[in-house]
Amino acid sequence: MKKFIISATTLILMGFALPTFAHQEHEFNHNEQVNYSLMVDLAYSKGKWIAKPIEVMPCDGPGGVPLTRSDKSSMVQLLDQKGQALYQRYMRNPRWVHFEVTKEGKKPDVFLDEVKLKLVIPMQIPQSRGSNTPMPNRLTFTETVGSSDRPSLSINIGRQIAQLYKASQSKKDFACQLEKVTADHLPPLQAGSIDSDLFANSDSIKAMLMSHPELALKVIADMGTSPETFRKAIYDVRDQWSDWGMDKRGANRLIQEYNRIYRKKRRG
Amino acid sequence: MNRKHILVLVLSAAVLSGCATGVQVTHSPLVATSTEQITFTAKSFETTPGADSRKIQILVNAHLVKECDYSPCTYTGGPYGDGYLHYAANVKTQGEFLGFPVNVTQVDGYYHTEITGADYSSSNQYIRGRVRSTSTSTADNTDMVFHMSDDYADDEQDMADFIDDATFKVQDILGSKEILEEELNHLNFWVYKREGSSVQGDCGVVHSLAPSEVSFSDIDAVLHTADFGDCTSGTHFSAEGHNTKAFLHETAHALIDLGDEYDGPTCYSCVGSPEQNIFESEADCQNEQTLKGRDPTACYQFTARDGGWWSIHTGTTVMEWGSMSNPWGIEATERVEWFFSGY
Repeated sequence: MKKFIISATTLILMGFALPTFAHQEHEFNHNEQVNYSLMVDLAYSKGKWIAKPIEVMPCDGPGGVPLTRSDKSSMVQLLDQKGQALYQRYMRNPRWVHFEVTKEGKKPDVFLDEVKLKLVIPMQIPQSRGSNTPMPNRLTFTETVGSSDRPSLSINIGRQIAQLYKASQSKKDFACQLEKVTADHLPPLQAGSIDSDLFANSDSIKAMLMSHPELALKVIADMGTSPETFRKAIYDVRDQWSDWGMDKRGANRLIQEYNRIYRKKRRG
Repeated sequence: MNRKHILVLVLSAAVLSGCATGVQVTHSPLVATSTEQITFTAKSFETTPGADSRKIQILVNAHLVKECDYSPCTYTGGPYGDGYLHYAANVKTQGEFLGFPVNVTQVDGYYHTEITGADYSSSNQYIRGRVRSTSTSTADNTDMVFHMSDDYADDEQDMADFIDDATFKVQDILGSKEILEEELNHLNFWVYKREGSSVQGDCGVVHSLAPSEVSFSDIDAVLHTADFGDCTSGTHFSAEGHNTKAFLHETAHALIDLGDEYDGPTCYSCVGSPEQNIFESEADCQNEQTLKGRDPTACYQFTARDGGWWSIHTGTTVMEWGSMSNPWGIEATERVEWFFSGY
């Protein structure tokens, strides 16, 4: 149903306003703060789970749609000082080794008696004393959430996180630091074309504006085009609007969106 | 515009949303050096009624490089210089409904891929294969990292062979399997250069530096050349690089939490919910069928293990075996669709 509503909305916008503009909402919801990850050594031996935080890194952690709860799935939680979950993720039980069917048949699944692995847990760390961001304080690991509400492991890690974070500040480079790959990495687009021939002289930017307005607007903003110039450029090529699948309302929406991006960029 | 017009607009949007055309663009090889050409392939996903006109466009570094009125649309370009290459595809559909013009453009991308130096030299040990652009975080997508087992070298194969295998997995398995092919935009694909290892029973072992260098990884796929029974443990699994064996079925476990549909010594209760594809009681299975307006008598006990498990699948399915030609089956399809509706 969600898909249907999005499709219908998309079609209305696309058919009668600016093509592909419905894609913007997703693209602009960027989280631009620094992400950190906590690395934890997790081990199972002699019927017991133990964990030790070993690194705080300025890196992205796993972030895709996580697995869902099942009788045998494991769960990692990061809690704040009030016991509120800051992070929760289900994962396949690390002790469970699931063999695949082969032509020769199926080898039985096994549960390992000893396991060592590294957990990477994404988290936020307050960047100033007055920040409202809650500080991670406790780590829990529940091996089988379906059969027990009691965590297999629950440790206070607030002080260790603070120490590891402090230590990380003195390190220059972390191999995990991902470079942001955005419109900045596109090849230069006709340097200097910041007046009304912004589009007339640049088929590539026009094509991109038609297909990927959000990216195109960022590129134009990166070129230093003022909102006034952008508005003039758009209206100077109004005879091409129909080719772009755009009417006046769509053009004005595009200009408003550009103003927003430009302001945001200026604010840094 | 009066109410009647608005109603017609909404109705036309509703009807035509069913015929909207999606597009998927991939490239080969997954990682190219600055001496190699790259082939971009854009496929449209079309449903009826057909539109009056449909064009697929491929854009590379913001330039329109190819326009087709057929699918798949391919373009081979390059070699490209070191750095990031951005690409995308549009499918533009024009038509008319109840006298109103309909002009739909759907987009896939931008993606970026890293063009490496000769011998795959790069600034980092991880290389971007096919990763969504403009995102400041990888958190919005699921990141799958390909690791090369050290048996490639034993088998006198090199990084290029491994890249070929990873390309095959992305383009010809995940990118060609129904449902997944239309949702491929939610997955990022990376290649990690440090060697891992894999022998039967260890489910693939990633390099010791992988947890820090590719900390963003959601799924680690360790490809190997030897032929043996593969397995999964935690977030990593092993799979043969050179054939489809295990990879599709295994990805369905690791990514979507689907349960096995065969009768064998496996973990049935590891299936994820909601929209699970197998049920631990006949009543649960029948309730699901009744809820969905299907025949509850279709439920049968496909295994007596673990107290018995029920489902409605028939014949050979992806979760029963795992070949590309196998269908998902009704319940697994619902789980896959539920999973991607979360994005």
